[in-house]
Amino acid sequence: MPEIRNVLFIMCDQLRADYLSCYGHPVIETPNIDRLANRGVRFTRAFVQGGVCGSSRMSFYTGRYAASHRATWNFVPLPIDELTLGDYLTAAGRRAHLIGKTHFAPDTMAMHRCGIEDDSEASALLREGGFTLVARHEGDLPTGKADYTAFLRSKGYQGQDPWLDYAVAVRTPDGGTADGWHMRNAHLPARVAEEHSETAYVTDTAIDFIRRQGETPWVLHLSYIKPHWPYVAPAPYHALYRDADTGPVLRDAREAENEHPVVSAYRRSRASQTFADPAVARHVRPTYMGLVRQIDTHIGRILDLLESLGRLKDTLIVFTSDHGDYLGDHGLGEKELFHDIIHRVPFLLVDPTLAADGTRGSVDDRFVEAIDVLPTILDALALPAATHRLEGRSLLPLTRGEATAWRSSVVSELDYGLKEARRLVGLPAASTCRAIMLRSAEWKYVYWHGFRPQLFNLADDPDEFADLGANPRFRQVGDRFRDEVLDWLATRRARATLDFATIERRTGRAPDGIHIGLW
Amino acid sequence: MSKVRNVLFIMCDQLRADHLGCARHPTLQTPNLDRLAAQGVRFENAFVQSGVCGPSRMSYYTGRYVLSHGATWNRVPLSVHEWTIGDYLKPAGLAAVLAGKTHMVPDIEAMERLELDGGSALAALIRQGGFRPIDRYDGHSPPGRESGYADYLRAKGYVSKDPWSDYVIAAEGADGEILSGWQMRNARLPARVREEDSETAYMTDQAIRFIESQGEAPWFLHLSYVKPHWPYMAPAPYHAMYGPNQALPVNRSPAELEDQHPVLAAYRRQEECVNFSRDETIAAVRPTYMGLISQLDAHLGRILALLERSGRLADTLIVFTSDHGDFLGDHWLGEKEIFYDEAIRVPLIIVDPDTASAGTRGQVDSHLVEAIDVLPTCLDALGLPIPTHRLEGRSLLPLLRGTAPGSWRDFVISELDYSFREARLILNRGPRECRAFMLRTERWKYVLWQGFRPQLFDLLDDPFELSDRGDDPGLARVQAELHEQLFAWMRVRENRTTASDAYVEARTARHKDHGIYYGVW
Repeated sequence: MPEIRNVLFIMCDQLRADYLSCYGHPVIETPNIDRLANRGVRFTRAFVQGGVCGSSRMSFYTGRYAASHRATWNFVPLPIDELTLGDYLTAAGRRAHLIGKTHFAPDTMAMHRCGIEDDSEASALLREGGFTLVARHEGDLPTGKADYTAFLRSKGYQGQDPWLDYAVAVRTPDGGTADGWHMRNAHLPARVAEEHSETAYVTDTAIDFIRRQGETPWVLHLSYIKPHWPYVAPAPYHALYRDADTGPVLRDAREAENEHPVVSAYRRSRASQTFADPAVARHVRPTYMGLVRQIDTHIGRILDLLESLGRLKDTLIVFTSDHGDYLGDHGLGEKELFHDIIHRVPFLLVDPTLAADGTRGSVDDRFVEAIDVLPTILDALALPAATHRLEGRSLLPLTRGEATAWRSSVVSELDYGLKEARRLVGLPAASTCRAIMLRSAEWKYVYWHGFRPQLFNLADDPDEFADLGANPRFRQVGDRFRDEVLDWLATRRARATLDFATIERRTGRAPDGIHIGLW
Repeated sequence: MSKVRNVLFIMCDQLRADHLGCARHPTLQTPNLDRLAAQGVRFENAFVQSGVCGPSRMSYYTGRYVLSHGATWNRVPLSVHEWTIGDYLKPAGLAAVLAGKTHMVPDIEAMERLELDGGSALAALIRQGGFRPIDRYDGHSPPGRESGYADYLRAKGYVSKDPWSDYVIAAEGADGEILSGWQMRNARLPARVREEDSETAYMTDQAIRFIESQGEAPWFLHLSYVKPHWPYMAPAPYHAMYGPNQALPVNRSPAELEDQHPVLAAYRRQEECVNFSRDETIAAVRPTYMGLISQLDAHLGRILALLERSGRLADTLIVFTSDHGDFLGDHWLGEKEIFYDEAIRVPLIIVDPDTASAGTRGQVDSHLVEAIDVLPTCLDALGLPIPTHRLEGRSLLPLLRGTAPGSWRDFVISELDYSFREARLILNRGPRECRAFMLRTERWKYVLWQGFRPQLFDLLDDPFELSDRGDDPGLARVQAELHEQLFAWMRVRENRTTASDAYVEARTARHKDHGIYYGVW
């Protein structure tokens, strides 16, 4: 009987690693998330496999790089042959329950081709990326709005789209209403009451779920949509940090020299153009900080519940985010590009077993990737590791202080084919708009198909201001990484239909009755 | 408007490109294939995407490189997500009919997960890789229930539980004892089966019956022979048609065994290579291999006569090719897989009945062509769309119709995953460490081996590939350039297969249409 019976996999959306007090933010207080860090291991070098919701999340859920799972950006359906967390659990007679966001887009064309009936169990899982829904909430996306809409209506919020009219709309000082999509309104409180906000709703649903489970083991993906835009916080969180120090807006004259063409195209996007004014960053950041603080409060409610139910001792807890948010740094808004601000995420892992007592409250600077979450969960539940598919590694040897050779770099990818940037650099839809980042402790190398690479010396230039990718002096460093990227591409787990045990068994042995090359 | 209404996609198994009369083999007689070449275009630089049945065929059937379709070796299931010929023909109301071999192994695990079980027509189709078999027969094993061949043989008086082992690949010794065709020493003996009941004759009969039954209704037929693949045993009179002195000279040199590439050295220790490095094996096998090809040719003649008689030559696109070659002792190797041209260059003859191709009939085309081009060529000829977010090959119709664009590809790719081979154990490597990628231009052949030094051949100075320059520092720059090309190739695989280009175009920067207004002030 394994000691871990439950898994709580918490994800925030667009939460930067440096916006938590346990990661050193000087102003925001996140005492409850810090509690998690004290109970478990805080990883300082955890990286996502894509700087945008869809592809990053599919890497979390499949345990595979974007090049392997192929859902390379938002709204690119996850191919039907990919297995997700829920599929691995279902095969073992368990479930992955979902409360909140996945950004999953089903491969409806393949489902149709395979004749999968809409009312079948297979269909229900395929439509939700293998998750069993408690409540799906995607915020802005129509695919996941129904549950929260019904909740708001039940609380008396009327209108066609109460999410838009209350959760995203703000109250103006004169008692009127304004649109929260406009960042100029970020300082005003949401029209929704705090206890009915998205973060509160998702938490309430989770509390209810955990209570109802009683002693039945569970795996819950609790996936908050915040602090992702629209940058609207309910009172009192909208005002908590209004006058606080929001930190420097990272810019450097070197960023304008030799600007990489794709980076330049991203800087011309509306979000970047708007955020290019440091005043915008200083206007929006307090709201973002308030939203983080709000999440922390609600995570405190969950932790209190787990404690009162005795669940802390048999529940593995993962706390992370799908990517960061520029918030005006580097003259950018939104995300996607390869700065650490976007690709490095908070990552806390609470392993409740005795074996992990030695690492509680410790900080681990080894490289973690989003694709490690799924193998970690399977390992914790003593389920098979499916190494012919899974490209990540279980982190339990790290929480349990076991000596193990570890990776020395991480990989992330971008497909900007669905972005305006593609048109700005003059590429048609059928072209390859891909980039691959390799980041070691000292260097960050970004291979851009069709463009020069980017290269940053993180030891000398931790804020990534000086792009050395076009500098001939660093040609050799770049070439070395380039070879590593090629090697990485060549070794993706593409032969996903056969496990290694079968390969081992069949090696050097023709099927019965076949005698090749006999004299 | 193309005149093409039908497609006849003929594949041989393990047929080398240089074993055709029209490809200047000095003694081998293939009058019907020569006729086909005279009516169409013979591509003399056609390469398969892997030198072994399973992955090569899956590339033909999906129109995608091995790195993309993932079925990297024999019996690796083709992912249920991969589309095959049948899926692309569906909009035209055509089925991809199969007579013969595919080597397709379905992704049963995924089918179970998707509840694609039971006897549904759809499940049956997916199990067959999108083909509708009239007779499926993968060869080199006793035919199972998916083929009528065993029953056919018994009905013809070959009384046995396993008439294939006892008659088709068996011969008789001087004292009437049964000798197995598995043993290559018996290759010169005639098979116990009568020629008209052999595998090649039987499958031709199936194809003829199908084409006749179609009448005027359009069709797509994949006629896929299991010969001249081993067991090397031909029925009379083909077993005796050629002698060892009529075979091509053996292409090997003692120097190849010095400083061997580690993976090749390991392959050369496998039984088939040990045996094929003996002169007596080569002398026994090559004439029979040639006989099997002449036999195939004779049966193709029957098909061509039928097409001519029924008027179908005028509206049928004919593709003739093979899944890979056969070393037959060249380079001290038996079998296939390794990237020498003997294994990865295949015959490819395409006859386009459309008058637009009148100007190229009988020509030999030297463009670099790949197996993945066959599917888009067929779709193009039938006037069907070519979904470029999945298909990685190019239609050859512009070459056939003399409307070739200015630019064509300047290299071909082939891949190998030798995880399943004894060579992996000899080299003491794990099943994830056995990939190789070949990039071949007109002049150079570069092979990137995971964990080992690359191979490099200068095909201009060394057309027979006897001198591996992979560790020649004088060619470091050439090697770096080829490496770069391979890298670029690897980077542009069509992996975003669930979103068509039109979908991408329609959804680019359109979030506002969906009520999403991030970044506005």
